Amino acid sequence: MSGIPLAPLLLASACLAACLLAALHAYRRRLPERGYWLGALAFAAAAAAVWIGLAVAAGGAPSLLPSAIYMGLAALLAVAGRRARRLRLATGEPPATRSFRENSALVMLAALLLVFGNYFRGAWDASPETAIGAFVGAVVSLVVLLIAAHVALAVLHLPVGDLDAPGDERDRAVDLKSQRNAYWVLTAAFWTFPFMLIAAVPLAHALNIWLAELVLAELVYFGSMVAYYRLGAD
Amino acid sequence: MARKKSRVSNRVRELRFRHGEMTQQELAERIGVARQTIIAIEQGRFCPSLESALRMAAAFETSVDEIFSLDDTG
Repeated sequence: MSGIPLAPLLLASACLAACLLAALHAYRRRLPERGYWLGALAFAAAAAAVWIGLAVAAGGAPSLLPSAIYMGLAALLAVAGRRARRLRLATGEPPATRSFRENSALVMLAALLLVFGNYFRGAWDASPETAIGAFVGAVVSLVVLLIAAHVALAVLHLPVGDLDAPGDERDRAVDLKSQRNAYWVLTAAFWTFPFMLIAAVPLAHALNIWLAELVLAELVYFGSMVAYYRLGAD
Repeated sequence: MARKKSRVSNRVRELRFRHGEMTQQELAERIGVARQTIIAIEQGRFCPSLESALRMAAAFETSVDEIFSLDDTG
């Protein structure tokens, strides 16, 4: 422990905690830009803490990538703070015409297409062992991609009050109609599996077809949401 | 008997401006929906529930049929 530079590490951690608390306080006082800017400072402090921690662990010059990711998030928060201030001081109505839920559905649709499109391209004719590895990789990639995309979406979405607003009657109508559309695909998927087994389709292929149908049901759900939000839910 | 296609049109935008240039956000808060829902209603992409229509009529101090009307298109 003697080689660990505790003082700068503790200082960076204390700065991170103080900035996060101050950001929360500013957010509650309805001064979103200060919340964002303090959050940016917190991420900058976290970048420093991570760099120091990695330097200690590696015993030399560490990789800059983790700290760069934190600094990137700090820059994103700073930009969001600038937008929030401009919006708060503007007399007109906020420009965002898409709700957070609509943007989230769009992100889910794009992420599913990207990740599972890539999975089925590679794993369709692969051996079961390779396919299982690719499937685990696809699920992990999807989770990481969705977390990162939703963090970016939440940071950039204005007004901030939208983020924790409960869904209203339009959200409920869109959700119900989208679920109804996806249900047809899901029902078809449920019934194709026993028929594939009867038709002696190889198990690996049958599982892949079944997975494709489940993914298709999700695509129909999120695709319907995007369409109903844009074109109308009547 | 064939069912007639109908479309509900509204004067929400006009009434907002007649009521002291009420913003979409103000109207949304008064009737308890999101601002994007008011945008969708004004653009004819969403037909509100009866409860929201009544709340909207109260906000504009008028009746529901002054705000919404049925356009039969055959």
